[in-house]
Amino acid sequence: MDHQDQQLDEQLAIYTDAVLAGKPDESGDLPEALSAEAATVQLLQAIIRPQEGVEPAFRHQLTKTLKAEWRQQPRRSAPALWKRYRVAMTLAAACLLLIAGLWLAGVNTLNSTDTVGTAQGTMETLLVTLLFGAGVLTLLFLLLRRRS
Amino acid sequence: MAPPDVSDEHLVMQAQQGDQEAFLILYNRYLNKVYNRVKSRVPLQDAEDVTQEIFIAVLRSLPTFEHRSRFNTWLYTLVNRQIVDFYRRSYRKQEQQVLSLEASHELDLAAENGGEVEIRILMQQAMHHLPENYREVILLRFADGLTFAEIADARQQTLEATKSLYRRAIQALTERVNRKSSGSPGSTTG
Repeated sequence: MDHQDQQLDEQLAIYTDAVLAGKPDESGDLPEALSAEAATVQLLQAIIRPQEGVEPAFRHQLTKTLKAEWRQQPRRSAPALWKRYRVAMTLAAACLLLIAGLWLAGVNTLNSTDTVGTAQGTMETLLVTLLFGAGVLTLLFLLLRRRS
Repeated sequence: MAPPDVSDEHLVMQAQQGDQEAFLILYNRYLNKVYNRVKSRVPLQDAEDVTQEIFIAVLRSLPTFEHRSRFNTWLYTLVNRQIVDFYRRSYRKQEQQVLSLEASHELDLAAENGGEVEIRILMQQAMHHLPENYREVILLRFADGLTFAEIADARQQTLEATKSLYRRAIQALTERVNRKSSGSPGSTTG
């Protein structure tokens, strides 16, 4: 970068800092080349008046409005976290379905009779059916949440 | 009020989980900055209304914020959108009333100190049409009150590059104001 340009950049930055601090005279002599820019800086400072901020009455009224608006809002959820949970839950439900499906298929195709009909076999079948149902319900829940 | 070291993103997460206090901390943290940005681009008498609309929009949109960008980037995008909406509504209203923007500004001029208001309007119009990166560096310094070193840090630039960008932005703004000013009847700026 041209050394002179760099110097002008620096001088305008120093001048801006001084104007924003309310001490434009302390920034030293400003070159003629920056007089128009200096006027713009002063105008910006006059228009934005960053040190002033909002009126306390406006702050108070807006705070009240936002609190009322907050109460009217539906219950919030954390979408980012919810997304991660949804992926994890989908995977878990799919695993559940797969395991239960394989077990049921295994029992039916192999015609395994060593536990079927016994109290243990009934319990296992009930448990696996429950797992299968839980998997289906989880997937349904996720599907409905996604649509809503 | 808020511990200064609590990050915006953490507060957003808490607000998204229903913590109203976290939202109010964020609001108090950004109210002046947003108001200053609005003041730089819309007529002073509308600045509070637009600021209010912005924060209501923030509250309503917060559940959809997905943390893909920094919160202030998202917030300032929303500020820009609301300001654009404000002008869209103004133009539509003026069309209905068969009033030009200049005519409505003349009413302002009559109501207040003429020269000052006219310069403010010229500056706001010029700011509104400035390229995004120029407008942003000016607003970061004037509205957000960041130092040049902090701006350089936020923009991931060197300090020299930031100061250079800032001077180009001020030059562009000066040119636009002067151009509009020389085309505006009864103007006092040169």
